[in-house]
Amino acid sequence: MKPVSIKYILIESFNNIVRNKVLFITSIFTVCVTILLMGVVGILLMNVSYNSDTMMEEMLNITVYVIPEADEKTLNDIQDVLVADAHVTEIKYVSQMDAYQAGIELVGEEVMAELGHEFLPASFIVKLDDVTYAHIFVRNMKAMSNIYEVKYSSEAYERAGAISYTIRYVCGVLTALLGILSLFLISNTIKITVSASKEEVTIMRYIGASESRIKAPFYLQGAFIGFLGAIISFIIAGFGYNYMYTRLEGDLSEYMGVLELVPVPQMLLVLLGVFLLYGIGLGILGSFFAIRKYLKA
Amino acid sequence: MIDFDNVSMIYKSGTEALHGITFHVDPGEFVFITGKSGSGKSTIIKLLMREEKPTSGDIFVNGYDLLSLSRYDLPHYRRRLGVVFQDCRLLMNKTVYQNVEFAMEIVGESNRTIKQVVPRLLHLVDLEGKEKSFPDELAGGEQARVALARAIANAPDILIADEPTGNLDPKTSVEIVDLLYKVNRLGTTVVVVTHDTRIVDRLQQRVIRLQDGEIVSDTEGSIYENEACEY
Repeated sequence: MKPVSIKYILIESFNNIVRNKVLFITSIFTVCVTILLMGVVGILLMNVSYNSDTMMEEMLNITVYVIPEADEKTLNDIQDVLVADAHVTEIKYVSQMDAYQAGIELVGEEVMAELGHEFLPASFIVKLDDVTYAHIFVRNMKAMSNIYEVKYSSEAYERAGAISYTIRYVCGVLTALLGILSLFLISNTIKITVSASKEEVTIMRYIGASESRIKAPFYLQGAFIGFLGAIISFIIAGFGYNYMYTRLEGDLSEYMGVLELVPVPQMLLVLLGVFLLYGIGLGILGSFFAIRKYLKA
Repeated sequence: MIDFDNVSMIYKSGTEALHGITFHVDPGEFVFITGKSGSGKSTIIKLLMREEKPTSGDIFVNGYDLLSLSRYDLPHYRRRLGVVFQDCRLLMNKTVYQNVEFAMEIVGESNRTIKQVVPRLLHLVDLEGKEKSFPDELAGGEQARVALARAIANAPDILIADEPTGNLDPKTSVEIVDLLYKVNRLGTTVVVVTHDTRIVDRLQQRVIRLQDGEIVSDTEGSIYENEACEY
């Protein structure tokens, strides 16, 4: 495209905005509201994901207890089996003495001194790379000799997985619905802007302006509306999240239990990227739907 | 240059606008298309502009087959046409200069060319000194001149004027027709659709007369000199 065309497109976009100030502000407001609504859903979704990932990661730990009488060779054999398993990503050995120390921390030295450490089983805490493999792993381990017990919170894991899936699914559907709604709103608002320039578009068509030349100022305008809407939403959502994070991690931390919020910088980075992408994309797509009918040759 | 070959046009509403019309216009010709309201004049304009496709027949304009013209080629085809609309269709929020400039800008002309050509065009249509005026500050004749300057801004091969004197007084009408003739003398093929017999008489050019969607006469020189004004 020639420089004069770029200049023309920029000037025309600016003129369109100045000419339709009220509509322009309305459009930004529409984008802003829809992005904020999506932002709230997104923030919820991110935090659910963040916590469920951490919790489920913890749940993926499987403890393999070895019989208390096991000698060093037996322990080495079991360790070899674990090391040979391709799905095992981490192995932590807890000796009888480690278990004894943990017992002291839990019930006190006196009680543990009476019990002694010989009855406590040594164990291997194993981390897997694939949760679906857990059942097979547990079954294999139980089938081995010298294994006292294999502990794996499968039910809790599956329940947490199901809850996480449901929340993600609901949020996904909500996001999609809000996306369609916002597209409809922005498209209609831009349609009014385009309609105000209908005569101009008609003349452009008759004079022989190419489709891209006719569309470009409107796309730019849509992208600009989306950009401004995204930035304003980001500022509001960013301040809001920062406030919520400070409150929940500070004064209200006792109510949070084991739950943790996504750190503010991480959240802001994601929000900025998603909001900009969504806002600009929405503006351009809205313009596309709005201008389409005026370009039917 | 313009070839209509057995062209018929029936609108979706069922209205039969043209019935198998055939005519040819050579490069550099000046042609009037006349007829009463509903005779099919406007349909010819729409077909020439490729706003509509004929129901049957072939149309070739300036080397383009209008029936098979692609969406991509349409702007290129239209750039070789200049159109003066009856209601001028000027952009009210742009000045006289900007209205003409706009036509050149959107086809990608350089700033330098625009700055050279627009003043020359405004001189040609006698609108010097009115560059900064807005259309609603101009008289009807002046608006028609701006529309004419815009139509010829990109040096079209064919100039189509749809009732260019429709809203003008006799004196201004004569001035506009003289301008159209001037453009024709500079080498542009001019097709004027009108029901104004005075301007047809004045120029003594070829006249294609339509009636109920058919060509009833195609003659050189005026056909109205000895007739009472029909329309």
